[in-house]
Amino acid sequence: MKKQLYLNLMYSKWIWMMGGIMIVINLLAAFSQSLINLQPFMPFVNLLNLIVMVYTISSIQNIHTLITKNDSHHFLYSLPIRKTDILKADYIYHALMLVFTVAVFSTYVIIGHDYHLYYGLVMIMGASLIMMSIYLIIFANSWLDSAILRYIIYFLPLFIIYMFHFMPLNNTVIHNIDLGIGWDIYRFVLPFIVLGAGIIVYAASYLYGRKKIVKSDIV
Amino acid sequence: MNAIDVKGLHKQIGNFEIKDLDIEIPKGYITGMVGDNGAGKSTLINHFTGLLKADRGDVKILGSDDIERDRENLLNRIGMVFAEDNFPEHLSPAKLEKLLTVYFEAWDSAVYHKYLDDFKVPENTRIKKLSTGEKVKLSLAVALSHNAELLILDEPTSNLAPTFRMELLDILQELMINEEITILFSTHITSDLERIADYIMMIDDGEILFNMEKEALLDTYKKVKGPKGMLDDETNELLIGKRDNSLGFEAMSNSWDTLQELFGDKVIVEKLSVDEVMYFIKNNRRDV
Repeated sequence: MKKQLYLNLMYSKWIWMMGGIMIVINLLAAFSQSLINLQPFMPFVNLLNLIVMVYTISSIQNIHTLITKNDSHHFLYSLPIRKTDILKADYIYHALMLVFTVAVFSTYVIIGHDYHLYYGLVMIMGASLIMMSIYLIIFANSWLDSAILRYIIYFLPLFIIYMFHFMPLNNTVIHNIDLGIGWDIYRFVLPFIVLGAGIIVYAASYLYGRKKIVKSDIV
Repeated sequence: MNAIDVKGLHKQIGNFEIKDLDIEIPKGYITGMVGDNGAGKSTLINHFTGLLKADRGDVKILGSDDIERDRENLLNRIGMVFAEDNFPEHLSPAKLEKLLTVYFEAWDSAVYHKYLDDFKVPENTRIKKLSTGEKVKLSLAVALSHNAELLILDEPTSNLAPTFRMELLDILQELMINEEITILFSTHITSDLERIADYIMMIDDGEILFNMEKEALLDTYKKVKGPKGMLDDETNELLIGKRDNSLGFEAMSNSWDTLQELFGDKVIVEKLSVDEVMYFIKNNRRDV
């Protein structure tokens, strides 16, 4: 399993570096906000954070897309490692990337943002776990066929959540808009239900995927 | 003892089918696998490296009959050269080694660098910028640097200059001094096999047409030539893949001595090349 983790890290080094640089930028911004007016730079900082977190949350898909270049997966997946270890490493790796995403996000929140944003993050984490479960089950069945298409399918629900949960959550809290209990459940309770479901689906999909992967063709 | 034992291997990929193959690759010898493009050579090899899973049948490699369970151990003991260049192109041979040391338990860095040096493969140039021949050489260096017991070479000589091809064949022969090593060498340059193979196996349209010791194959089967109108139905039966031309007929036969007894000097018996064996067998399949 360590072998596959090493491979994943090798292919995603740049994403970790990008995330690390983002953390530094966020911290610098947070500590200097009392000294200088950051408002002119905030749209740029917001966009940078969004781009970085898009990559950290989809790092596995990014790795899979990169290793299909020149059909390198024929070579890389014929190196000595068990198929179940490849799958296990990918599951662990995605969980690590979610933790890393939380780290980047946390440094972003401290630049004068409200902590309610964490509800949006929890929702996205939960949805990411569910979508990644589906992605990795397909991976266990057919490996890297149509990797780019699956990348898009993974992202679509996350984008919808960003548009219809994260953004409204932010706007309604900032402007202190009260839309009733149903809206509150949607904003503040649903994220934890989705996260809980995500964790369960993620674990169950791993148990299912490890049975499937030994029966499937890699190429 | 066999390095590879295949019984009833069946695999369907789209319209292509590998049909209930039985194969034995003896340990300590070089087996050459010949066949046209699309005959099923790479598909078969992919079963040995765990890239493909048989629909049914048994594949036993280096004593293991469960490739999935023993995949890690087996792939440590198999050196593989692919038909296509599938390396991560953004890496250099030196950086590739860092990855390979993580994967292979018996990775021998000194041997790897020696081969890179001998083959004149630049260590710090990105693989993307290496020539096709250099990539094949790199692939060979990788396959030869982790003390593999079984080398599987899928068309390794196709993209090599003639001088290096000869050099490679010498290296493979040197490796065979240690009889623990087994080599499965797939190619359509049959002259390479005539030089180094102990056994020759021919695959066509997913079926094994023959798998024999090379000397026995070339001693058993001979090319027979004779004038027109000499053969009757009974003697025709003794010929494989017969072709008529303006001068007479030409065919392969394992009863060439009988034909010689019957027709004396009228028939000419000649040694076959592996190419000709393939040609006559394919003719025979077409006629059937």
